[in-house]
Amino acid sequence: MDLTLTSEQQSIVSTADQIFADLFPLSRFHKGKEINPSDMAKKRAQLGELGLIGVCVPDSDGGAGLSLVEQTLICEALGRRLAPLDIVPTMLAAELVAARGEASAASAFMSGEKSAGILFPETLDATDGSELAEEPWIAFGGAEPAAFLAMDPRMAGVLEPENISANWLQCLATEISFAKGIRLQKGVASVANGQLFTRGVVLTSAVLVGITQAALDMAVEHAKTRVQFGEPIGVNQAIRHPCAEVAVKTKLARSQLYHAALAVEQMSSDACHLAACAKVLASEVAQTSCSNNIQFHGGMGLTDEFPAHMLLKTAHTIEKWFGSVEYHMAQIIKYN
Amino acid sequence: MRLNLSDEDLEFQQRATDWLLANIPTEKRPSAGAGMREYDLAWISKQSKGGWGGISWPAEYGGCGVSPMQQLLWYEASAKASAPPIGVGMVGLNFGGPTLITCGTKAQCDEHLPRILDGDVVWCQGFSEPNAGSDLGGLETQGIVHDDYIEVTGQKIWTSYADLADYQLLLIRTDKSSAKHSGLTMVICDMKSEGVDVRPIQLISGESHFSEVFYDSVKIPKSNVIGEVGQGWRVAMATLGFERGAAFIADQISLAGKVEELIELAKRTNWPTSNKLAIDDDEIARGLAVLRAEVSGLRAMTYGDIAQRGVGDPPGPEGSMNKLCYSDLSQKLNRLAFRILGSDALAFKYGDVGWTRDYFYSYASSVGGGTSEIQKEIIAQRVLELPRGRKG
Repeated sequence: MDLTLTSEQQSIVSTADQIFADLFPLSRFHKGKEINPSDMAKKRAQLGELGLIGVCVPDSDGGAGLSLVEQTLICEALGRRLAPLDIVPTMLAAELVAARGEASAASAFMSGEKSAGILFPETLDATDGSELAEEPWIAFGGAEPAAFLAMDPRMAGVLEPENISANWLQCLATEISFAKGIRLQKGVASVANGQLFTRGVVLTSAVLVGITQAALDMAVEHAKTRVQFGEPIGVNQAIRHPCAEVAVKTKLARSQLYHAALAVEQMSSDACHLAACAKVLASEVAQTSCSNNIQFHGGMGLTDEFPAHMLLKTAHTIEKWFGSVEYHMAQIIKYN
Repeated sequence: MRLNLSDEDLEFQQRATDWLLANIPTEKRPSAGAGMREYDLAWISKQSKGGWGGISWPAEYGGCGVSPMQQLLWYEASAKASAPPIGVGMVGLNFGGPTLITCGTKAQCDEHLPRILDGDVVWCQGFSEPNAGSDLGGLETQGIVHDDYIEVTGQKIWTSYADLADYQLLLIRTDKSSAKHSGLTMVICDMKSEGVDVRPIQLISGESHFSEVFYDSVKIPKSNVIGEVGQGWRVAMATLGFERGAAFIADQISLAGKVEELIELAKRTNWPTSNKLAIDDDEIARGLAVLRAEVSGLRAMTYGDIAQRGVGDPPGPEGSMNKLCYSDLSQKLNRLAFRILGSDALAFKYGDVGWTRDYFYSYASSVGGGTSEIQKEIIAQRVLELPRGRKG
């Protein structure tokens, strides 16, 4: 296997990175600087125009026709820049409805006109794979999702928001709301699509790897510039060694992520297993990297004003999507 | 990015696997002494005769001349086929030979390389000293330069297979007055020279592969200097580059097999509570799942690094990242095995093989070949570009 990025892939990374940074600056997490809903719609439209939402929708359906590998790189950039998480289910919703031949619905997601939320069964292995279970489900969404993707490891369907009765709560990742204990009506239209769930596992792992890298970069930058006792704090092994450990584990998780993306794209027989491994490695290193980053920033790391906490909170949120670490660990150990 | 191997690499992999399966020795490998030396050298000789000698060496020096990717495939095929380890051939094939190829004279290459390749000789490496471990540049073994020989007096330690070796890659101080890293010289020491005394050291895992080596006015001909007098640090850095490079891959690959063995062990080992098996315990199962994920990640990382490296490129700091990952994983794996085995793990005497021996031996993985602390320093400086660490 060769995990080297092609020059085209490198340019996708730098473009996506720049766009996410420009459209969704970290300052939006500060009081009074939040992006208002109409501006958010404009920003989504820009993402849509650039082809970043319909990245994996085939050319013939109006998408960019790229592979899961490119989508993975884009989601990694999304995580690194803490762009809104509901872009991920919106991408997948566009792919699902495009595959069902619903061109206008697909185009609404791809253009950024509509965003999708996402629903998972609270207990993933409770489903029998014949239809979406009735209860209970957990939902995540941005501001006013136009539809919800309902997914378990085998089935996928799209629901109208009015069919979901939920008691919405504010999530740690402040742009996301969530609700638990949701019941679906029996016989919700759905199709067998385990591939889409596995793609979601890969994409959430990509977001986690991006967040991990952002936290490491932030910690290293601080270690170089923050002076105490007359020297940058990065001269101390208590700082530099944990940074080195995270650098290694980040590389490990990213290597696994790219391997999984290639395998899922080519439908290798071990694709699900490799994706589960990526999710576990990415979740674990994200936790370490984000926690270290808060500690190394001292008092500043404890403030709402400094974005270190948003990295941690976003990582904790997306880690719960497409199967928790515990779920994927159970899958890994069952794999034969 | 690409998932599958090229047709050429696939063909190589098949050819390697076929040859290995047909030629791997069936006899059990002796775990020490002259028997082990003979066994390991016979396997090297067989590989050489079969056209597989010097897998990491360039063709013009008698090696296979294959790409880093094909070297990786060879090591992987060897591990999958349960081929014997490189054993006593490690220093000659992985460090000594490549060091001569990079820094030695034609006469040195002509004299030594064919014998290393054919499994005629064993090499060892004399770098560390009692007062120069991580701080290798502080070594004190003295070399007095005479007209046609260098007279060596001092002590080396942690020398693998010194008691079985014919030659040693030996780093000495030939100029006391110059700064730390200058004034060093690399020589080839004939282990049969008068004044060389080898004393094996027994490790916590039982084996005595390491030795102390004492030098009492040992005369080494000047024609045995590798590079030039005073250039020893540069030569040593080349050697250490090989140590952290492709040679290390074989260990990583066998680790993946051990994780699978441990999962099998956990499926048949009783757990001390409620009539369960070890695998039914959540903490054990999750520990094994993380190991499986990490081994998979390490393999992807190794493939990624190798695919980026051209033929003949020296490994960069990614060697340190790989090593750190490997030693961490190896220790976690063996600790978990020790836990799964419960009180059965306590039955152990020196000379035994198995999980308990491997558990104690795994403590060496974060010390030998540069400690984990030193690897982290290399990563902090060369990858993260953090300021140099505090000295005192």
